[in-house]
Amino acid sequence: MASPLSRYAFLNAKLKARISKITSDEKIDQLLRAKTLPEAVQLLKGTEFEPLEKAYVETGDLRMGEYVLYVREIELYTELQHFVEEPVLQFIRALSLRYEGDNLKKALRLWFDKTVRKRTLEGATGYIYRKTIVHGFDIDEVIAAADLPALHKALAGTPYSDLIARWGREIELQKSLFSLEIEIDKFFYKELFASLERLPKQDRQIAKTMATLEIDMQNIDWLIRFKNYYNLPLEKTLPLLIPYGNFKDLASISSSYTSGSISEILSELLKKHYSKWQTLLGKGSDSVSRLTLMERVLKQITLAQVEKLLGGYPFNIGIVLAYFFLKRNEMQTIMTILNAKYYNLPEERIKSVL
Amino acid sequence: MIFTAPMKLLIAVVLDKDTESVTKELLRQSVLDFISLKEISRGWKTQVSSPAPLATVARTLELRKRAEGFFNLAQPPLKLPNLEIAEIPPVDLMESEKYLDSLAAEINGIRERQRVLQEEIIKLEEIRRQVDAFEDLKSGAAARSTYSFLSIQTGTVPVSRFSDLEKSLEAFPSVVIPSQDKEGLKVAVLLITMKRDDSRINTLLSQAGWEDVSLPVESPGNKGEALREITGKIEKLRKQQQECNQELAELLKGRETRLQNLWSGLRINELFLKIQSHFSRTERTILFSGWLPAEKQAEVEEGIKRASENRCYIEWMAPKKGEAAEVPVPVAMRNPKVLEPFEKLVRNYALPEYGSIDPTPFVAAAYLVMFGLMFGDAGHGLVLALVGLAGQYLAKKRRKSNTLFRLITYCGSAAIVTGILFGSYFGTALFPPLWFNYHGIIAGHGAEMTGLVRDIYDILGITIRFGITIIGLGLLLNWVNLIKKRDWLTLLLDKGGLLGGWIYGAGTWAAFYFVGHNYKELPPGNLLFWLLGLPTLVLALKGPLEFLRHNRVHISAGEDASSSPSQAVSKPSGKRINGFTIIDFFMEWIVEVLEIYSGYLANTLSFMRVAGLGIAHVSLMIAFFQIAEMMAGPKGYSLWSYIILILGNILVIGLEGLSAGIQSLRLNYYEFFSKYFNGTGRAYRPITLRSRD
Repeated sequence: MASPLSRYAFLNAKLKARISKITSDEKIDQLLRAKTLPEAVQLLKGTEFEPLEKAYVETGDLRMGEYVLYVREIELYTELQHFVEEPVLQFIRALSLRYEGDNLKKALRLWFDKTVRKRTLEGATGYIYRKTIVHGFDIDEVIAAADLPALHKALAGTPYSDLIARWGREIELQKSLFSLEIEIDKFFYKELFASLERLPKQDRQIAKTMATLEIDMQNIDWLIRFKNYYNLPLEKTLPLLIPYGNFKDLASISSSYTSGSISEILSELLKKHYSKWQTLLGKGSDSVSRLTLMERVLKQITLAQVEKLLGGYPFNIGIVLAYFFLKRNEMQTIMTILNAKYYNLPEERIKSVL
Repeated sequence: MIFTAPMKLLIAVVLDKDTESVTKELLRQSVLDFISLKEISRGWKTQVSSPAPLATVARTLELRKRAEGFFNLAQPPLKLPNLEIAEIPPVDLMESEKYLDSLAAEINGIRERQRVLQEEIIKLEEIRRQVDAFEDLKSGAAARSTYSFLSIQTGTVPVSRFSDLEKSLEAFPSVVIPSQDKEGLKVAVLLITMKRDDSRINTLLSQAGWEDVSLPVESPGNKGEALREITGKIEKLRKQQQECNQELAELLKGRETRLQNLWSGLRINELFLKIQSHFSRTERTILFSGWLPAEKQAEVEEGIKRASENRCYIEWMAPKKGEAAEVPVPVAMRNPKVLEPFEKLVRNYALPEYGSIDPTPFVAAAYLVMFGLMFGDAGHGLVLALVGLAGQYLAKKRRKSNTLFRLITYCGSAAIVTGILFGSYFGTALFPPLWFNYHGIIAGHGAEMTGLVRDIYDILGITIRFGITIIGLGLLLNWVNLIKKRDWLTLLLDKGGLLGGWIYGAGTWAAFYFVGHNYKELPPGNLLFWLLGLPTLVLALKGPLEFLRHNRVHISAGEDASSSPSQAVSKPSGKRINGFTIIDFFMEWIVEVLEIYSGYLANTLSFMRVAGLGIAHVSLMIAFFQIAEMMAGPKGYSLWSYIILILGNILVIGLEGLSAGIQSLRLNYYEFFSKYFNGTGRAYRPITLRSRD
């Protein structure tokens, strides 16, 4: 197997150069201060987001710009695959399953709206990514499927058809895609963990740490939302969580979960594995602001780990994971600001959600 | 050019009623880098009031940047006007904001229309995707329940009502394909619409006298026709979107003059307010202070006097003296435009300390010589120079900076000169060399040559001597800087001072002696002692002497209004030399000696890379020629030979050009600058009409 140096030297230089071009805080401030959407978008001229600006100028449609960005995000992974060899290659492919899953979920929601809720789709399919990411299937066929058997047929030959076969009945009974979507997410993480087992030892440790962190953050987010939005009993939440994370036993949070206090639940969850971040938890006034705070805290934890990776030994998978996280974060920030400008939200309100 | 521009510190007091005229004059002059009076003397703090925080500066700046945004919205971007200060135009910030808001609303309206068109395009693209999925449309018409997006109907319409029906269907994403053969009173039609519009469309159809029929075999059902129809509609909508963009461009072009006037007014007012934000006030006067180039002193003084009708007090201070002793002096580098690329290289590293040597002309010479020695080929140099010239032209056209391309042009020119000296033209000896045959030496024909340079060691020797020259020049520049600063101890005893130079010179001579004696004999011992040993021992005095010099503690006179930093009291700190201090001195001396000997040796040998890269350049060309010969036929070079040579030249120009550029920069930044450059300067930033921040 190639040495870490030969495996990552070029990639490290390339990705670090790209990371150095990530949108600066100054530019984000300029975007925040822009009064209208066209004024904000023109600030992206000459930057990495110029394709978004071009798409907006041609169509006047911000969603088209968002779609262009989304395509770029997917291409970050497909492009990087040219620069790596096995076993890193299959790990990156596994990472890109995230987007395949997201794209499939979008298509399934449209299918569900059309087939189960009997709604018309009004051009909503125009922003779906149609190329193959990992597994080949026709997204239009998925959306257009008349019923569950047709849906199953549309996904034939992919791992998702098994999920449809197992969870189709649940969809019909509960009139909800909730369980299926969670299974799609679980499938992604299952594949991810399977692929990282094949990495060299140091890469495996780093990838596992990052993946576990991501899963923990996702599970925390879900747990709190299950309580806040659905008031699900604790015993029903554990099967819904993604395995492989640190939270295998939720007995310790049972009392705080019952009380419904987001800060308490979060504090209990962070106590064992992320105790130093407990100090970030303040006392928000309502559940929405606490949820916002929660998301910020979770993002901060991940960001800190990413910064650790960037500051550490450069020739390992850490640089790749850090790059993906930072780019995704950057795109989300830009799109949040632009969408807020479209809806004329004030600057302070936008800052509160960033 | 050799030294940083001499500066003067201005302190001026004018009457409150002359504020506007003086501000206007200062803005017109555009040379003052303002500082706070408190930097000169703490006593000012209680004597004057700071100006009230000017929120309007920030608001003016924001509006100005917003106006600039509208300039960039235009395709191509509108030009920012040059600022003239005949009059300070009055600016109503609220009106300006209202104007920009109304312009933004108009632009938003255009973009919204584009967005609506885009929605229609997406719906038509959806129809196109669905239609594309059918084998043919007549079977699709039968399968209308399977594809739930589309409604495919076939029927007939009276000929007289067909055009009205077609017109009313334009409001919906639809495809209407009439039969080519409009015989009789009716026309057969294939109609594709979206299911969501069924109820409204059915109303239109019944109004038009639609009758559902199954179309015969020859009737329209051609998928290709439907797709063409859809594509045509999409293109029409895209064209409308482009027209929206043209409308936007015309809108902004039409408002160009107004926007330029608005921007000019905002910018001038912004600068005006920025200047006034540095004024301090008493009851009836304003005071201000700042640095400017000494050559502008008379002009500025006359300007202030004129603007205030001689109702002013002006004081000038020299840098580093009196009350201005502790005030950091900004650095202005005044080099001719031709040296601008090299000035940027220097600024990239740091700004030189005020009063010290401006490295730019030396960097220009050193950089080009280094590059030329590493990239010595007239043909390759010509290509680089042409690339540089083309780049300058394109950059000018796109209104971008051309500094990099000018540097490339200079480097190409240097390579042309050295290429002629070495007789190298695209890797061949088209003309005899004016100095020595680089190619011949690398190819192994050195023994046949006459002249002083006959083998690789001679080439290495040239670069070593070049390195010694550069390092020696660096030391000389350092001495000049130290003499200007009157830092005699450092001048004498520092590793970059006279003692360091002595050791370096002696060491270089000893090394050449050793080489000259076939690496078998060093200079005589007693000579070595006087040349190297003595200065090394003298170096040991540096620690104690610095200890004595710096072992005085300055006691501040406190926050007393009557005092200034220059009235600081100094007295010996009471630190004594003891055993530990002596050990410190000894360790410092050892480290310093190691640093001098190993550092200078390493720095000198580092210049061998100049030879290394030059040899690599030649070797690569020799290799490509050999490959070309291998591809040659009995009659000489084949097509493949020429392809190899062309690609080889391109590769060498790219690779070696980049390497030579980077290595020249490194040699300047590290080996050259480390001898004399003290990059502690702060930039000279006057408030000027020409700035674009």
